[in-house]
Amino acid sequence: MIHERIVLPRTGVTITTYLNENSAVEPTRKFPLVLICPGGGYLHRVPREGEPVAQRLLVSGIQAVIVHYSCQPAVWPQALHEIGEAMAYCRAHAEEWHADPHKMAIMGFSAGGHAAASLGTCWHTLEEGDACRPDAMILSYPVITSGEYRHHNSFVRLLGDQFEEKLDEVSLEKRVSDKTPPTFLWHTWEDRVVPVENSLLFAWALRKQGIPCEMHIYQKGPHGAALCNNETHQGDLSRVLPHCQNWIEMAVRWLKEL
Amino acid sequence: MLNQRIVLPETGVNLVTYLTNNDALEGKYIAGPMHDFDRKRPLVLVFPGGGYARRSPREAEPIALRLLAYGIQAVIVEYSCAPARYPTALKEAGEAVAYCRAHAEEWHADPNKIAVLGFSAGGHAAGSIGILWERLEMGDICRPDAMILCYPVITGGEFAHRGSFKCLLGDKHDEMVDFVSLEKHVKKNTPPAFLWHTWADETVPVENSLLLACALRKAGVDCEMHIYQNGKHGLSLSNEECFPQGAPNMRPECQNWIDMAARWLKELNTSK
Repeated sequence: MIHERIVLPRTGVTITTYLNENSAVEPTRKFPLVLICPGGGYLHRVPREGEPVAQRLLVSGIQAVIVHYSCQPAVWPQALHEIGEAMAYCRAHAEEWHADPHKMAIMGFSAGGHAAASLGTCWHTLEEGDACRPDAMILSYPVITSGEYRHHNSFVRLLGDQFEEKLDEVSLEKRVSDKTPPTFLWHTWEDRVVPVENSLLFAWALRKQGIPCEMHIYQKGPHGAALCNNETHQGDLSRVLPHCQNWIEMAVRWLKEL
Repeated sequence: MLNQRIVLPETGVNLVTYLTNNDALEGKYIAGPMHDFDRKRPLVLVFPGGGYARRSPREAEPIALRLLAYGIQAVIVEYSCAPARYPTALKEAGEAVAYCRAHAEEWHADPNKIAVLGFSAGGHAAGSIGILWERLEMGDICRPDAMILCYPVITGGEFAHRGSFKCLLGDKHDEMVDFVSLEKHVKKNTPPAFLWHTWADETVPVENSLLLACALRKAGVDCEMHIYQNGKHGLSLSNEECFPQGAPNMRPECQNWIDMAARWLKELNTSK
């Protein structure tokens, strides 16, 4: 395994790699790579949506990299620039990291889903251009809209004193274009923190652009359950949801077959 | 197992039952904590699809048998297709739900967990009794407690599967289509729904399920929805039981919907 912390030169963002070292087993194998954005309302990044997810991907034959994007007091578009640099860095290192440069996905949870979907919808506005384009997005109970169904505090922290001025610009269902990659979404209907409308609005926007999508909405379950198992409950057993545990298997299958 | 064909008295619709018979256990085994002769199982009425022109066999018996294996009682409803028109199938579905509920005790079923399950146009038939049950003026005896809708025909609007609505409405298509466009009639007393669809469905577009989910959301009705990216219309179980020749339609990743639907139905709180 290649496990390193790397500080990137331009934005100074830190990434942590969890990479299969396959040189002995199958030297020519190219794995998909997933760049993970943990959630935390743009206040912090919660641990349960980082390492346990990376480890799960690793055993599923997917290279994983966690991006420690900036939260409050950093404001938009700082995190977008960091994640863009991280994606371009991973792609530039694809060969060394046994990764397929054409299967580099971005994954995010809750506000990290907003960070991830920012890259998916706005990558073409960054100076890295095609190098930072994600080939796919996997969004778990994502913060998407700054409209009626917004997770208010995420946007307050993301925008700081530009809240009024930039609110519309970061409503990502409005940023979907023909440049947005295929997307896998999952959410719970009962989510009281980030309403399921966030995923529904994003799905409608993808549909209008003719972009492929897979979406799994479970009725029961609270916000923020990550892998929904004992590895990610972080002391709150209401996050252990046997019926939701198959989302990651379906996401892995979806990414591999894409 | 109680496997019978029953002709209902009012509408004349045929039901085919596939019911686990608790009583059959008695006498063969010594009763113990493992045996629950009073067990009440959920019951699902199955509506095969076929564009309201026919009923597809691969969405009938293989589903009933699979439900039985989950501990769910199954009844296939042989609802009328064209040239029969609305509200024939709705009335048949209403009588079928009421009949199953009235026979719950005899059939070892939970009278508060009588669900409907429909595919494609059968999803419209099942969704109709779920959403339009009050039109029958039979009271809530004909209200299903839950709906499981598989790549359902829902809307008569922009994203309609037009052929289904033409078979259902005949000459009255234009004047009646809004009246049977199900997303427009969802109310607070609509039962919870489990929906699944494929994004790539070119026959009944996924907007049908998306529109229904949004309507349920606005009415405050619970829902679970699984949309797989790939796969054609009409996958049924997406396995060898439905595509014996191993048709290229089969998508292994779409086989888990029925596990999820059975789990959802069993965990659903529908007690009154």
